[in-house]
Amino acid sequence: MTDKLLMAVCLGCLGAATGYALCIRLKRRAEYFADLDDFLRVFSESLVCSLDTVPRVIGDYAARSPLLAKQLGECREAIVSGRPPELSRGSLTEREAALVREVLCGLGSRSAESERAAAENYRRKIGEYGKLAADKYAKLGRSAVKLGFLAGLLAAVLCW
Amino acid sequence: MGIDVIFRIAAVGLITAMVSQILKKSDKDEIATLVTLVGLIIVLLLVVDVLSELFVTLQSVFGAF
Repeated sequence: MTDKLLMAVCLGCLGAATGYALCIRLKRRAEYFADLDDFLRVFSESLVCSLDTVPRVIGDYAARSPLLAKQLGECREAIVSGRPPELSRGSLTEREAALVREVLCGLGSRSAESERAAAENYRRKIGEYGKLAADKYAKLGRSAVKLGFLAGLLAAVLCW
Repeated sequence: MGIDVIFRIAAVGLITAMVSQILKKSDKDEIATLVTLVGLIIVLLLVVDVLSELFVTLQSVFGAF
């Protein structure tokens, strides 16, 4: 009896942990887009937007999202070394990753005015993705732990 | 067998109902319906042996074959 109860608790905890991991993933996605939007705002507000100053602007920006921090680091290294950047994808979908690649690879390649216009355009697109990610987190993220726990309990009942 | 299966059915029913409610609150009505259906199938699988036993007993009681 004790071992079966232990199994039920373990499966419940395992399910809850899986749900929590999913919740964190959804939360990080939502935070990532908000952070990327903030970065583009900071970038477009910086007075000189040329390829020489992009590494400095990137270096000055304190990213809150770990994925964005990693991507900005990779982008900065690529600009400094003159190679095309290989950006980490993280939890982004193929389309989102392509957009982010387009945004970060194009930094500093235009004149200041067109750079600002492009940044505003990208902010609009990223805002849409960000809204979707935030909605998904609001709807599913908070119930993921409960659902995971209940799924674990259901598995325990079926294995009893 | 015995009372075990009744408790198991009750637990599956409770958990399915809770999951369904949570999913409905998250605007995932179609998945909630699917979960309810899966719960029903699980319960049917749990009682299928008991039902077959019941039919065999009925056949033997009434002498049908």
